[in-house]
Amino acid sequence: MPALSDSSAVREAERALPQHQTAVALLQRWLADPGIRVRWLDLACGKGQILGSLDENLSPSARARIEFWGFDANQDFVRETERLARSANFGRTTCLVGELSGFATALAGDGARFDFITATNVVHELRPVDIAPILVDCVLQLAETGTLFVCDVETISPRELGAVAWSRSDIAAVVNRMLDEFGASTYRPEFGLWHHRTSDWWGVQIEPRHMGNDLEAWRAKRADVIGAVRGEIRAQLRRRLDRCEKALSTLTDCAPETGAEEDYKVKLLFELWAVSYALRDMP
Amino acid sequence: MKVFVACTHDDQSLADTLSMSLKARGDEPVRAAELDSPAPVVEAISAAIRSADLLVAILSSASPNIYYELGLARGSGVPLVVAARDTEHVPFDLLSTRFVHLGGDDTTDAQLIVRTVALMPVERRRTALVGSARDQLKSLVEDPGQLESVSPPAFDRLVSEALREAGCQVRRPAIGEDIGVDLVIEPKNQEPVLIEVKKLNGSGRVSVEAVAQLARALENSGTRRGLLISSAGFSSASLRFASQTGIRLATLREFVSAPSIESLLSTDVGRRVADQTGRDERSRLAMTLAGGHLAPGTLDEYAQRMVVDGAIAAARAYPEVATDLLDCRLHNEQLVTLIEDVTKHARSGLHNTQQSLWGLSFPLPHLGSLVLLAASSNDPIRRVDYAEDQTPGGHWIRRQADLQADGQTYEVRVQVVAPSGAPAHGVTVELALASEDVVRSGLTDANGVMLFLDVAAVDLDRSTFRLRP
Repeated sequence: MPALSDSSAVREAERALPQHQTAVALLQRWLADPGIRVRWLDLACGKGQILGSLDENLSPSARARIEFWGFDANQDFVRETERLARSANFGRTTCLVGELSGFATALAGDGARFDFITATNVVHELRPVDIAPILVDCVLQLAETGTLFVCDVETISPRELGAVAWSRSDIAAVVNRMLDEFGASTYRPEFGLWHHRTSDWWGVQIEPRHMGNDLEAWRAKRADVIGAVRGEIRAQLRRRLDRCEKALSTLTDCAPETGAEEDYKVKLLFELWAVSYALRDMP
Repeated sequence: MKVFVACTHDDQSLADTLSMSLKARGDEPVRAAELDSPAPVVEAISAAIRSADLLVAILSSASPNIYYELGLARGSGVPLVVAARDTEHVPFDLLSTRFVHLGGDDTTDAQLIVRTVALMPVERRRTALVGSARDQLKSLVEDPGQLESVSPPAFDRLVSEALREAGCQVRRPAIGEDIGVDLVIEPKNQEPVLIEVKKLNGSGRVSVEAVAQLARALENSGTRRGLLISSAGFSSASLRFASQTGIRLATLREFVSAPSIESLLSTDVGRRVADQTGRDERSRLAMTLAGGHLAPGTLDEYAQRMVVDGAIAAARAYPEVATDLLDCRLHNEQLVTLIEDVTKHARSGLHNTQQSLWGLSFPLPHLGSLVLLAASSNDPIRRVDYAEDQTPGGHWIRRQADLQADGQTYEVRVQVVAPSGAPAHGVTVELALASEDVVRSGLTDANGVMLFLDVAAVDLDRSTFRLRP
């Protein structure tokens, strides 16, 4: 299943968005140990926005200790990421094109797990039915001391047809459900929230070392965990659809009376379509 | 002195210099770009301007934002200083305000502005709020101007404190809870309540989005009770949404008037009346609308959806609601009853206050519209409409009189409507005195209209309009 056609990838040479700065800061933490090499997977790498600021933030020797994997559904994006990655002179660069839901399979031949996986600005681009397997596979692909960094917007601006944005509390419920199913119910990662000019962002770091690190048991549970997380997502979507229909119903009966309500009407229509569309895959 | 500096991005440099100079003088410069408020930026700017002692507008270009801010300040009575290279972009209406001619050097220009600011006879317009938080909120209800000047965070704090004074345990949700509301209260021996506080402009209305967000917070937290307290009214959609979810909406006036938080939570205006009348949900909604001090037109859409029962009950139960209803347009056959009730209350209300202009318009089947208008002596009446008796032929005559500012009627427009509801063309209308002497007569046009001009000398109270048999 292709990614949303309405999706976009941003790469601005002049500025790194805070979420990308965070990713680079996490990389710096890894590379502070001069003897370590870092296997980094940038999932849904887009046009390589994170790579754009590495020149100024990581020394050539640090960059040489990075083994980089870029993965995205868009061939043009991956090509651009690969060009940037090559120019960064990483110790290794591998860029792959494929559906995000199948990234684990695509990387299966490699064997080793990743120290660092980034998934920035991507969750809203995913079909909700794919969020559970991607999230679970990210955890399964992490090294014992690895970190998964996920962040995304709470609201999408400009709007993208079919995109489902998740609030911090919603995504926290999804992640916590996954942790519960993995048997790590005492582990509750911190979810950050940043207020930006156009939208709010949430972010979280998930680390298997707080989950018990029982990879074999996790792999055995994979299907069950995915099913349970999908159930949480489905329940959330149904509640969202209910609220959305209720609000649209009121705005149908009582015309919008303020500019904010007029905007909200359009937002609701996008939400209605996106959530209805998502629920088709999750009956 | 709090000085709001309105400028475009192009004038940031001068604004920076000016801000420094004002600070050096002991003033408090405020700029839109520097406002740090959780409220929507427009609300924050509005509150900042209304609470300022002076507004300095740097007008180097025709900026809609600056014009808006100037208008807001002017309307709020905030003294103005306009600074520009020339008067090209200065609105005509502001040409008489204090003007600073900018030369192009930031330091010199800033000094010029500061010098002008120092000369301005600025009075502190704000009076300190005193007493308990509830008393302060009551003062704000009675002083809309001061309410406008209160920042959203300050308003939030006052509401929070008033809830505490009412005996509630009040807390702000912890970060980890992430339930997306302003406050959580735990009344004694009662389940918790999620509270959202909205501080809007007086002319603003809480949108349905705010209520939907509170509904989401209730779902996520597993809490059943939610209350949204607003400094302004609510949109029709927000009222409808709330009625479907059990969320309570309260205006500030209702909040400070409620005998207890529980009473506020268990009975809103609509519920109070509905309890008396046993009406259905729609009726209760109408009551809420009517009691919510909403702007004209709000009831319009609702009334069309058969909520008139509630409005009638509200008018009967609450005279103050009746006067609110006067600003609403209603459509329903049942309005005949409402007309009687509302008119009665309205007349008594007008008799008591004589301060406001009230209008009531009821389009009725085959009758056209019936409008009752009354005004204080300061507000010249523009129109007086009322229905005449049905003519023997089944036609209806509708009369509209235009008054001069001194209260003299100078023309009367009459529309004749056939029993089918269509305008009656070519019908002769007579204006006759009680003695049945015909003063004027004429034929209606294609719209069924006959216009009697220059009737100031006619005693219309003793006159009737009739169709020639």
